[in-house]
Amino acid sequence: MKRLLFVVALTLASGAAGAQQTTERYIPIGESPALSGRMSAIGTIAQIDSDGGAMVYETNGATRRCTFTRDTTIYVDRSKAEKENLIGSVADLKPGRRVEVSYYHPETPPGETPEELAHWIKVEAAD
Amino acid sequence: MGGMNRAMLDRGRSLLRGAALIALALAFACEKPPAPPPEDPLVARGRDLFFNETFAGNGRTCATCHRLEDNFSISPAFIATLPPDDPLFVAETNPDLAENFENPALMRGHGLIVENLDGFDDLATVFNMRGVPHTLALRTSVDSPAGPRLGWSGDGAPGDGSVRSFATGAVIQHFARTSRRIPGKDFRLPTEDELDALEAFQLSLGRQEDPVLPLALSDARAVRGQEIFLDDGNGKCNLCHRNGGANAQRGGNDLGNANFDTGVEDFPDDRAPVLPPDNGFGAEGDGTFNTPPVVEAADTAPFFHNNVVGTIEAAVAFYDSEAFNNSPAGQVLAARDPNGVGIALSDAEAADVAAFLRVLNALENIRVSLDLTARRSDLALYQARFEVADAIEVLKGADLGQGAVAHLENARRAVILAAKRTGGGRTVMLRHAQKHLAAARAKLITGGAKEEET
Repeated sequence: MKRLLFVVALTLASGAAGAQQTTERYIPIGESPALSGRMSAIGTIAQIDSDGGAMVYETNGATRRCTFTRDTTIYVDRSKAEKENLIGSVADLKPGRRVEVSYYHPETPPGETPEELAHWIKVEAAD
Repeated sequence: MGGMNRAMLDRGRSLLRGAALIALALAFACEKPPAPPPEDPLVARGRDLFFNETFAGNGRTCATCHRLEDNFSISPAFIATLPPDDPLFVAETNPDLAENFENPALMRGHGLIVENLDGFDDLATVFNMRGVPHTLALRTSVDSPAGPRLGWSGDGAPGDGSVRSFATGAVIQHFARTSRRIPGKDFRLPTEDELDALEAFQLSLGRQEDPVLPLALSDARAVRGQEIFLDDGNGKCNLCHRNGGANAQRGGNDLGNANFDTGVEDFPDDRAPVLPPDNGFGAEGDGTFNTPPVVEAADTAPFFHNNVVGTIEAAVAFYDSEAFNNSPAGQVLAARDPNGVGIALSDAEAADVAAFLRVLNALENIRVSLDLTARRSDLALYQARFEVADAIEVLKGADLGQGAVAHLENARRAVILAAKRTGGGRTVMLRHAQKHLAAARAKLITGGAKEEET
């Protein structure tokens, strides 16, 4: 039992391994290494919920809905205009704009539809 | 459901989570595919990219900071040898990078590089200063049940956090022409093929597996040091640096590469200018930093994420400090110690552990040198001369292995001569070098290969 607790303590104390998100700001839509297209979806914004808590977007002929959390970061991709990418906000998410959503699904009780939460969202800047 | 039953259910769930963690730890340690040979085309392409590709940036390459001559890292002593127009110093030579791209005083004085892991919005006040970790033995040093851990805080790579993705983040942080970091203008991102090649090359560097301790060492101090290192009740080093590597272990099970808060940030640091505090893993920072391997430690000073100590002896002594023993990691060790002690080493014990690590490093230098001299190429022999020189330096630094040092001196001369020759002349010199390398190893290992006549 003590050994088990030590292993748990050691693993938990070590923290969860993860990628750094800081440089995502400077990676254009679709170019995040080993992530774009695998753990992310690229599409077009259809609508933003009136309370600003979720976004519906179209991707590959399907409609997806992602919910923002307090940790969701929104990046404005201005690379096509050769301008510096910015940290944005929900206000930058406008219908018709191209987006990439890095998503995850939290634990969901059996029988319930898993919710899609956004790690980060990159939105292409308006021309 | 009654309160008693709910409590039992919660305890059961905790036990299940703990068991799941152990299962994860055991499951992740599955057999890895063998490493491709150094002459593999993908490795060769990665080598070329690593040393020569600037990604349309400020002139830096990966090798600007990860120097072949300095064990794929860079130390203040090495920095002092560089000409003023070296790309390392772009912040001093490029007006577009003069503000907040690097801190020249800390770079030149302490080998520290600016990292903006907490964001790029406030470059003047939000940054970390970190040493350049070496890129040796990555194949054995970054995997964990929860995913790969890169860099000093284990969160160094973007995307999926892997060795492959690391170059993307590095180009953005270190290669940009201006601090605006506009993709396509200030730099270009590595392509998918380039990431594959860079990954293959980096994984080919150094050890492809951890040693199996204990080794049959001949030096009495190194023998004592190894005993202390492996003693889970004394040095306790092997708990987090299993077999001298970067992986934690418990009860013989490999827990993979882990982060710990060992209190380095609280260690007395009287350097000037004062470094900003570094909160470790994650944007908000949990105070933990990643565990590097120690086989390669003795010749990759200075140590820890902020280069706060300059010798392997001081690095070992840190673990006997108040800073360590008051840290979360120190407290975990103390909690499971029958006497409530984290780590307590006498000066002599710490010196012995350092002696062990020096001999361990020298043996690795010899192994690499034998491999490089077998390859015969100009680049391999160029690297070999530094590896042999490192072995000499780490042994002489603590007056260790005098008989081995003499052979290593002969080996170094032979490698230098071999590099100046071709064909049969090179072959003769390389045989001479390899005999002396083997003889040096025989001096360091009890009952090692019989010293061949030279």
